[in-house]
Parts: sequence; C-alpha cells; structure tokens
Amino acid sequence: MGRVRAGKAAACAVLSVVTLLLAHPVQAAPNDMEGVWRLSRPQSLLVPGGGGLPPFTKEGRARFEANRKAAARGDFRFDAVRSSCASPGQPRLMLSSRPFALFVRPRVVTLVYAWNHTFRQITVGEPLPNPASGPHWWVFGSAQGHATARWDGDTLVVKTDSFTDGRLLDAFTPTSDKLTLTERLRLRSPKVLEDRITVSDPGIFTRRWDAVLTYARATDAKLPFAEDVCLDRLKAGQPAWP
Amino acid sequence: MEAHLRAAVPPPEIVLPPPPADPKRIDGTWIMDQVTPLHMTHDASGHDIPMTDAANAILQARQRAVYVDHDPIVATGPQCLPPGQPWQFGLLTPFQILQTPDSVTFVFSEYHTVWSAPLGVASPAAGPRQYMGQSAGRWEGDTLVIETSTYKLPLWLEPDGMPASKDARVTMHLRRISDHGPELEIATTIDDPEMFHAPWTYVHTYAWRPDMEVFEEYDCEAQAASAAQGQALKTKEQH
Repeated sequence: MGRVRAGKAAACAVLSVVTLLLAHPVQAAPNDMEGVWRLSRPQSLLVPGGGGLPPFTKEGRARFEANRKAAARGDFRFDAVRSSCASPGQPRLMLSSRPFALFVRPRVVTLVYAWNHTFRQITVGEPLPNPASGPHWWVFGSAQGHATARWDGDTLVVKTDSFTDGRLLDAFTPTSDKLTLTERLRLRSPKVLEDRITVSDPGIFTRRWDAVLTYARATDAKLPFAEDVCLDRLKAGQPAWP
Repeated sequence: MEAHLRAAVPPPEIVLPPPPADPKRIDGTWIMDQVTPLHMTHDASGHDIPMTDAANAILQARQRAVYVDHDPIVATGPQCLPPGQPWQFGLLTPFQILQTPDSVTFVFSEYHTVWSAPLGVASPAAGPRQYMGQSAGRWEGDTLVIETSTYKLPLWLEPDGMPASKDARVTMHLRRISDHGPELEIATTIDDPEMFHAPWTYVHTYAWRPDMEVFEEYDCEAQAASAAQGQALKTKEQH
C-alpha cells in the first residue's frame, strides 16, 4: 500500500513539474542563440509552410518558370550569384548549405557566413546616429536590405526592406524592390534555431506567405571557417553557390 | 589629408556608450583615427624600412605602373579578394570585432572581408594557404597577440605597393589605450626575410565608434561585374 501511495505521489510531482513547465516555459536568453549553425535540410527553394509553390502573380510565375528553364539549359545569366558571385542577399543567404556564426550584441546581431566571407548585420532597437553615413543611408537598396529588429521575449523579430530590384529569393524565385521580409528567429531547443519568414512582394506574389527554416547547432564547424572565395571557385569552373 | 580624415571619420553626434570595462574585451566597432602616408618609409621608431633589393624592385614596378604607365597593377582588395591584414587595417573604414572565449572575428565594411583567429593557440595551423593566411591568437597580459602566416599570395602592405612575400609572418599586438579617448592600438610587425633585412614594426590607432557599427553593404563582386560589363560595352562601341 505504502509503495503504491509513494508511486502516486512521485507521479503527481512529475505531472506538476510538467504542468508548470508548460504554463511557464523556460525562456532562452538572447545570447543562447550564439554559436555556429547549419541549415537542417539543404534546400534550393524557399518553400511555403504548406508545401508547393509560393502564391505567384502571373508575372511572378512567368519569371520563375523562365529562370527554371534557363537553369535547365545551364544558362545562369539570370542569377548574379551564380554568374558573378554577387551578394545573394536575403533571404537567400539563410538558405546557404554552409554554416554561419551568429553573434548577439546589444545593438547589433551579426551573422558571419562561411560562404564567400559574407556577413549580415541586424540593428536591434534604435541605432546610434552615424555622422559618416547620415540618416536613411539605406534607401538606395541593397541585396541584404535594411534589417531592424526587436526582442519579443526570446524571439528576435527582424524586419528587412530596402532591397534592390531584380534579385532572387532563392534559386529561381524572382523578387522586386518592394520585397519585405519579417523573420522570427528563436531557439526551438538549445540545438535547433528556427527562422520563421513572412514574405511580401506585391508584384511577384498575390499575398503574404510564410516559410520556416531550421538550423542545427553545428558540431563539425567552428570559427575560423576555412576561407571561401567564390571568385576563385568560379575561375576554377566550380559552382559559385554550392 | 586632415580634411580627408575628418570627412571619413567625422566626430560623433552624441556621447557614445563606453567600450567594455574589461581591457581584454575589444568587442565593438573601431575606425582608424590617424592620417597615414600613402607610402611607408619609416618604421614606428623612425628608422628606414630595411627593404631588400627584391622588395625595392617590386615597389618600383608597382609605382611605375601607376605614375609612369598609368596602368596600375591591381592589388587583391580591389579585385574583391581578401587583401591581407596590413592593407585591410590601413583603410579609413570601420570594422567590427566579435570576441568569444575561443575566437576573435573581424568584420570589415570594405570588400566584405571577414577574418577570424582562434584564441589560446600557440602558433598558426599548418593549413592550406589563404588570402588572409592562417592565424593564431593569445593573450599576453592585456594585449592580444595574433600571428598570421601561410598567405596565398604576396601582400601589399599599403596602397603604394610596399610588398611582403606570401611567406611573411605578420604579428599584430592589439591593446586598448585611452590617450585620446577610447582607442585600439595595433602594432604590426612584418617578418619577411625575402623582402626585409630584419623584422620591422608600424603602429596604427583606431577610435571607438559604436555609432558606425552598421555598415552599408559592399557588394564588391556585383560592382566589379557591372564595371566589366560597362567596359565591354564601351569597347564594343569604340569598334
């Protein structure tokens, strides 16, 4: 009898702890995101959450298909990354099959990619005024876009806009200078980083859509990364975007 | 030159947040705060740089290409290739330092160069030759010492063409100083028997500038491709 009661008490205690954890999940500290990460599943396309293709407009779909057909012919002139090692920008760099290191600092989160010694900076909160560049220096656009973020609990919410026109979201999907990205970066577990991306680009897509990328904490890579120089690979006849 | 420095590094518009209190934390954003000569002739002690005949010949060839032939020999940086530490740290553009217990990473706005060194390592790994070499860092008191060797190509130590061979050993001593506000001092020693009769050292200082910590993207490869395309069109029109 006594043993049964003790067993019940232990089960109740475990249940209470589980209930408590579910009600009050342990929050990860922002710095816990630091480390070296690698895409869990290599993928060349950013796939919507439900699968299939993004909700293309007629023009978006036509450009997507044209890019796919050109690639099938081995013609990559539509892709400045493959043809000249230009910056893949966002969100394509988040699709790199190579690892990246993530650093969380009070005003800037920096991602250092193993691909072609490239990096991404995300401003967290209000930036300090920069007298060298002046305000709104980003309006002319770039492949990386202009990324600003805030912490929502243990999730880094990143909004990126001010992209240049005529880039690619992934291997084939076209984008315009109206592209905006909202990303929610959080630790799904200590060893899994999740990037939930909402894509909006009215000329290319009929509506906003979501995709989720996950990254595993890399056990086989650390800083310093082996030096990767895309132009050397291109010169050697190797793929620019492996 | 002073005006050029003021334009590239204008004074901050606000009172800047201070750097970390720990002198062994060099995390943050820094930019050179001194005017350096286009061509180095003296070391940090004021002595002539002990160039070998081979170094003189290379320097003269590079200078002749610019000033006489008007057809410059292009260094690696402007070719969108990592240019080596001496060239990169000689630019009037900011860089960010990201420090962890076992590595230090330098992120440069110019050429999107990234250079990392492992910490607590006695000497550079015997890895493959790289544009930024193989590095090893260690703390000596409050000074971070980083040794780099095994370069892929000969170096340009400054824009005028002072050379170092790809077998050069570049040792940088980085320490926080506060003579004119918070600064980072980097003393760089070039040890390269092929180009110099003896190791020699030069010193640069960098101002603490967290207000310059977000960089405009330098899409070097896209710009180079666009320039090449423009040149090809121009050539086509001329024929």
